[in-house]
Amino acid sequence: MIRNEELNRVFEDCLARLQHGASLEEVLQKYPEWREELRPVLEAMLALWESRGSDTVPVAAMRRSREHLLEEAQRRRAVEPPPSFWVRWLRKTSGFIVPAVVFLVVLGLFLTGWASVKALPGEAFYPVKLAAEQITLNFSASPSQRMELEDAYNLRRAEEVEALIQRRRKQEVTFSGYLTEEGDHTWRINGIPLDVPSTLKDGLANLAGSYVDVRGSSTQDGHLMLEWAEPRVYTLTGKVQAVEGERVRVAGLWVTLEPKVVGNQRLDVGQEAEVSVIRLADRSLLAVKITLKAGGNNSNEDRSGQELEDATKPIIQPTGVPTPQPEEMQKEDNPGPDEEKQPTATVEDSRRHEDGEKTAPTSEKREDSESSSKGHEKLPELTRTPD
Amino acid sequence: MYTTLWLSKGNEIHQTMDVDSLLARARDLDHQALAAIHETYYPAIYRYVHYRLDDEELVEDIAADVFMCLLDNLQDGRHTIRDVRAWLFGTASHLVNDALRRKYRKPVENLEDHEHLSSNLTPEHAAEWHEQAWAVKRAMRLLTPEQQQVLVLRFSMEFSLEETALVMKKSVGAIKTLQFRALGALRRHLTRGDEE
Repeated sequence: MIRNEELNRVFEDCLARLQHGASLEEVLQKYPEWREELRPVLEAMLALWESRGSDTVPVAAMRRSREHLLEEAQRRRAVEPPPSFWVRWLRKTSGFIVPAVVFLVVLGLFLTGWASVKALPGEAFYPVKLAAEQITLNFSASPSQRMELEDAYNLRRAEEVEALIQRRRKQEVTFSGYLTEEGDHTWRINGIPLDVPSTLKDGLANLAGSYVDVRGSSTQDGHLMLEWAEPRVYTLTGKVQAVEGERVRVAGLWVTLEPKVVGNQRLDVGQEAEVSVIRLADRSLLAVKITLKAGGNNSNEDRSGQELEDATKPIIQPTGVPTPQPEEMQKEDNPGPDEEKQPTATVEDSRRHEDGEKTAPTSEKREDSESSSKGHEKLPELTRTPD
Repeated sequence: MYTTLWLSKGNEIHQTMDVDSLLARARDLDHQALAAIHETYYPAIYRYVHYRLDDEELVEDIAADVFMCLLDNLQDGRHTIRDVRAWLFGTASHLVNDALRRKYRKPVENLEDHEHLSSNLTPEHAAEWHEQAWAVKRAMRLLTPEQQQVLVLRFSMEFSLEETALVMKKSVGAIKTLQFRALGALRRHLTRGDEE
């Protein structure tokens, strides 16, 4: 290796000397120890040098090349300047880029949706989940379809709460469901056991069997601490379509009435009425307030609720009346021949009238609770606050 | 790099300019700049190609193609040319190698008369040089493409070690070793040719 390096250095020195006019023998005399290696190489190099003169350049070839170059430049200058590299790259790859971008966007939406579906309250994608549900609700075709969707979403909320409890994660939650009390005095909503502070127990008893909105916190020891509960109240507006015993049908739905709610009002078929109802665990509706509007058979009276406790003329006949069947809850979508003659009725969450908020009104988890009778016996208060 | 070129127009105007501004003007298809580059480098490129190929038409075509490639590269704008001389010789080397791969032909003596730029020899000297040059060329054809390239660049085109390394994309040390071995091989082939 060192020998080669030394030989290369000596060769370069010989080359320089030859270029400055030294003869081959003079150069070789300076490096006698390298003479044998250098002589053939230097002779070959000199032969190359001497042969250079034969490679002359044809003037005609040079002229033709020059003219060709300048003509091509002239031609290119006459046409539109070529697009830049990136423009050409985009043109080349546009057939691939556009589908790739679309694929990435779709993939991103899919992944976001997938992540949000599994999201729990307090997690980053949870607002996305709620927003997606709200969009679906806004596109619902009819009020009944909207109620079904809200029921499904309320069930989802309950499942989220169960998941939080299982994971022993502390998180404030809000959800809805039927409030039931089991034999061991355990209060449950959609099957989820509640830790009820002593200050709320009395008020909670008044809501037993009804469909309620609740707020609470899941705790790190796997419980749900109740903080607030309120019955879900709906308003049915429309003409009275039928009166059977303690029941009246308004807006296609059968509603159970109690004399103290009706008071001394007289209910006749065809009257315009506005009825505030709550849902009970046996899937029936219980009126908590009824208002007869002007233009009805008893248009002069507009009294309702507890104001009519002293009514002396009950109009509900205490005859044996069959319990409303679940199918009858769907009459709104499939009205019978009689109902088709009635004006269009609305079913809406009363709180939307009051503060514009949208809430889920129902749940798919309907229990045949034994405590449903309590809802008939006790008139739920509209709002319960622990504080 | 700041290289000075002598730009001639007719035989009257001579001016100097740096290569970067010349290339910038050539990129805008400036005739004067393109002509200056062509005039400066064409003879060397032609000689380089001629050292490695024998077909006169092919040599002329490749020498012209080198400058068309330069025009394409300048307009493409994808790559920056740092050393225009090295770039031109590197391109010429690629084109020659491509031509050799496509069609390798044994050298055929071309006795066509041409008007040559450096043709200032007497007929006797020209015949003698032609014979010697032919022997060298024949021996060169027996070398590997890399050996041919390094010998042409170093001893025919008189490139420095560094310039040769730049064109051939090798280290200076590798060029030293390569040129020494190439000369040894050339010498052996020349001796063998003399014996035959």
